[in-house]
Amino acid sequence: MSNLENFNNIFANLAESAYNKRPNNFPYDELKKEYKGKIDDGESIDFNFSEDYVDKKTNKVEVKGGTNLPNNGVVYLQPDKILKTVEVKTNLQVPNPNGGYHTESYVNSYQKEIHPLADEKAGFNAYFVTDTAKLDETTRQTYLTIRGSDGASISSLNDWVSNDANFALTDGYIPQAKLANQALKEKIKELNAKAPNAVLNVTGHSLGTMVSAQAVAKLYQDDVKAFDKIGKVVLFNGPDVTQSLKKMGLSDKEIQRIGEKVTYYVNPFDIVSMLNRTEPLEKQFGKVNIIVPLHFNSTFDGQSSHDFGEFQLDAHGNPLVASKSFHPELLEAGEKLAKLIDKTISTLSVSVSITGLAGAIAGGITGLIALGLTAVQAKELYDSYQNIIQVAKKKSKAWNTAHIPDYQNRIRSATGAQKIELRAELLQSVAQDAVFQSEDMAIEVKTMVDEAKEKVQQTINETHQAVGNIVQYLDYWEVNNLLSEFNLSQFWDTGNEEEIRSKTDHYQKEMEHFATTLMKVSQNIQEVDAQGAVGFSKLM
Amino acid sequence: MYETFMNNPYLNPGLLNEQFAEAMKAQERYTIQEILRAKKLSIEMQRKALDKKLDTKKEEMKKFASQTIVSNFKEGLTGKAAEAAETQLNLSKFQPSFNNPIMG
Repeated sequence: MSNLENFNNIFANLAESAYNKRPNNFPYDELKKEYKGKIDDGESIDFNFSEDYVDKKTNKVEVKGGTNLPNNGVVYLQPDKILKTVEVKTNLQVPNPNGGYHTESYVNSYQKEIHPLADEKAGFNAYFVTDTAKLDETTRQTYLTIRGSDGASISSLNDWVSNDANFALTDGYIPQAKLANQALKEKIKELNAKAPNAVLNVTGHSLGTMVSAQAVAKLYQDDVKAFDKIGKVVLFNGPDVTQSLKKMGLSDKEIQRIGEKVTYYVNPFDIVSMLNRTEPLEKQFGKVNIIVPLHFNSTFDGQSSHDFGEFQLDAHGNPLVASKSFHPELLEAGEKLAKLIDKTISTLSVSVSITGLAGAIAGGITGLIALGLTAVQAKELYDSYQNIIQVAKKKSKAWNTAHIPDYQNRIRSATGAQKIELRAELLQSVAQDAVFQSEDMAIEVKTMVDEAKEKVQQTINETHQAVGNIVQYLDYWEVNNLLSEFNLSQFWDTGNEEEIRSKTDHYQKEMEHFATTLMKVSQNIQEVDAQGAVGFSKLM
Repeated sequence: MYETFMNNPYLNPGLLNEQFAEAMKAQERYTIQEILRAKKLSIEMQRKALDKKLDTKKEEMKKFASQTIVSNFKEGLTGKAAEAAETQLNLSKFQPSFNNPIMG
């Protein structure tokens, strides 16, 4: 699991907070006791995303407080409890005075607690967040944040099997989207009644993006006026939904109209993000941005490309994105991965793949075999996936090498905002290059040590074999005695080996830290310029 | 001829065999020592080669931090901020030293 590095993007903050075990998160079970009490009493609770998130155990800043956030980063999580009056009709058989019976109906009413934003059985969880403690005429921004699966793991298999995988293969209107659509309708009704000046924004990650997109589209289909209350829909690391929207009966023009409110940020190395994205980006639903991830990792890696930690957010919350003029190799990599996934899915039979796709996402190569692929096919797919990442990394390195001097030249002749922008891009490229190069150097040193150790071991083995070949007369014990000191421990210092590994890891870690600082500087250039060394050291 | 040799009463075949075996053992000991010497020499050469490689890599890592990055961020970072960054990159954490794990 890797969290956002800063809270600069309100949508990313809220999408992340919808999950369990995240900083400033919303799920009830993980709230502070006093917050639970407030929610139970039907009150909202406040979160301030402009403040640093400090890990209580280590006392270290885990996520840097956000800058330039709407409402200075303060949001209010509204309770998800509605008391509805439920009427129950009871029929009674009442005896007639003249004999026989007749039926009399009585209506009893009682208050039932309902939670429109949570359906445990369906795996649907959403949170309603606002910029005022209570909904009123001063409320401007409200948000519905829809939780995705809790990580791509076996524990979330239920979500993936019934929703994602089904979606990937049949492009259907997924069950959770129906619930989200109901939630949108409820909230818009509430806004109309209490907060007429507010808009409802929507955000989500992973499975949450599909749920959000379909729910918003359905809202447009059912009630255009209600749709007008939707502000922005900002979605992270989720697949394209165009085909599913068409199956829902929406025309190309309608899809385009709905898409005007929708922005995606997707990682080109994430399988979930690149699902259904074989079409050119401009033909996909919403405005699709391919991010420049912090690491070049796969969905299966510990620091997964599917997670929030890969977003590089500037001081205004804009994720660092690739374009035709800035790291175009990432656009190419995303397209290649989309085609690879498409090719894989097209070879599967539906009955196998519904569980298989979920298994694949959860279990790496073992999971790919579960898709119904042979071990050879699964390995080929896995290798192709890794190859896409490695090729992109190589191209990104080449791009940096070619463009760093070019940026420097352009900066010299630029002025004003353009100069700041170019300086930011230069620092981002230098930062990325530093990460890549230090990663490579660390791998090279370790490989060097591994190879040397193997060669020493091989020489020792050859020695034992050569001695074995010539001995005819010497006693076994004497040969053993002569060779007793000719072993690895005699020639290999494990302590030094460990020290080299630890020092290269340390170098790489420190370089990543330095690169992160450069990224932060790129987001605050003017501030650092004004503060000089202090400004740099503050970010280090 | 072997039969004549074996029937020679002045010869002790057992002793001769024993002496022969001892001579062969001595030869084997010598050969083993030579094999060990040669292989130790081979490992010593591997040690020197690794020494050189580690040294080159160490210099590369140091140079990358203290020179390449510093030169790359020019124009991006300026003034005192650039100096502060350069100071960071010249700290010992970016100048690793490696002790050869192959023992001489």
